[in-house]
Amino acid sequence: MTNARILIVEDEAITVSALKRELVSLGYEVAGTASTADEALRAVELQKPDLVLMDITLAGGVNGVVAAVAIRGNFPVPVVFLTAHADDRTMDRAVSAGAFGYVLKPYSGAGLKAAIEMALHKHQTEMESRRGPGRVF
Amino acid sequence: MAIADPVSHLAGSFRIVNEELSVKTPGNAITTPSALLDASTKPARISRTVAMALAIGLVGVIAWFDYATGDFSLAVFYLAPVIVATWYAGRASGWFIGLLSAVGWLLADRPDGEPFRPYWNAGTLALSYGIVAHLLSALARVQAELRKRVEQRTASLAEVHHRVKNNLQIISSLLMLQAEKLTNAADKAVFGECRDRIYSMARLHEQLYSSDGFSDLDFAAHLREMAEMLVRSHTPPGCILALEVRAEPVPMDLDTAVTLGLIANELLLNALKHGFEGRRAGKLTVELRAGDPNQMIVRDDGSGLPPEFDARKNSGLGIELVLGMAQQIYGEAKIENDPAGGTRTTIFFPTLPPSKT
Repeated sequence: MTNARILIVEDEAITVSALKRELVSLGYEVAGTASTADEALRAVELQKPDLVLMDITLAGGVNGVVAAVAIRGNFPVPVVFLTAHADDRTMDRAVSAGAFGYVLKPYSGAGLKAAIEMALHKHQTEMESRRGPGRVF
Repeated sequence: MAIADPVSHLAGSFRIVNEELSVKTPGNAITTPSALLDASTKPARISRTVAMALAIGLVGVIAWFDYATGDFSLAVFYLAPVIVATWYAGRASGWFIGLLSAVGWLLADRPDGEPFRPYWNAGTLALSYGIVAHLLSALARVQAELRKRVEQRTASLAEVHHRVKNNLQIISSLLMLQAEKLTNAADKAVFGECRDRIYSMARLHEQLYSSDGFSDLDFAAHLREMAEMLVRSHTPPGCILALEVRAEPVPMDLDTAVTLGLIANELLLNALKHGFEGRRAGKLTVELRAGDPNQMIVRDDGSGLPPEFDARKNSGLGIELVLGMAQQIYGEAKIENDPAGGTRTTIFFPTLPPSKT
């Protein structure tokens, strides 16, 4: 899904700058950036992105997994985690938070694109199945 | 749905149970998989009360057997309730059960006409059980302390690992931002190659952290993942490239794995950059063979090396790095034209390099 609008939730300024450029070079639009969980919620509400790219360690004390649970509970938007946490425990928590993807830092452009595309496709399929079968005739 | 204040919204909808990631929604507790994992992986401990009840019961049973068997000595069996009480209920409880055991032994003892001896023997038994309880409680304390330290170290290691990867991400991001200022595509590509190297090293770090020890490092899996990543991102436009990876498990330490990973990175990038220029299809093969010495082979079916090529005289940075890094792992690099066409580079390296001093 080209031109998908992506919200970046990340508290490292340098990584945010690089991610913005990377996403644009991959054909996406950056809907906005946030560095804390509450900024992320506000941005999702205002910007209505197609996908949220979420770090797990965030500024402000509330981590990305909690923020993802809050976002998923209130908005129909998929969340893909982009994090340096590679342990099973954190991955399990991300899965239980309803993550649509998990990309490890440092990321590769190809890996990031694959995770975003899969998440967007999965989300689209999920939304279509919720709406139920369309008219056959 | 409008959220007036996201912070209070978060606070209202989710109560953060601890500093970590467990959350509770109002009226609906979410049990995280990790919480379940924690509960199932910790050894089951019996409570103080149960331990004491068990120990007192054991004293009663042993004393009864002691009485029933007459002159046969069962003194050593009283250690069982002492151990149970000390381990699960603490030193004082162990001493109490030791004393109770001595009393049990005394009651079970048949009088032999010596008025003083049974009391003396019971006293020495009580003292012995007390010493056992004392030593055992010291052992339990040491064990608890060690467990705590291991948990702290594990947490620290996880944090260090996380920071290393975060810093590698920042370096990679900086390289990308710096590359933006360049106008020459070749110069930009150099920065891109540096990012690939960083990515490759980070993946090895990840594997090291998730494996139980250095000997479990699965370099074959790393090689496969790296080759796929590089082919995905560096295949020349218009060229359909087939990648074949045949990797046998080869045990190696972290230093060897990192260096060999960087060599593979150089060889693959070199093949992708120069091996398939102007071609519409090609094949790239990566092999890892266990043996004495082990071999890592990167082969392409491209145009091959020029006839006058000499790796020692080649001034390219890539070749220089490959030769230097091969020496670093006590190995050797052989770069040649493949008889079937294309270029073939073989890295010969030993399984266990001599320790560096």
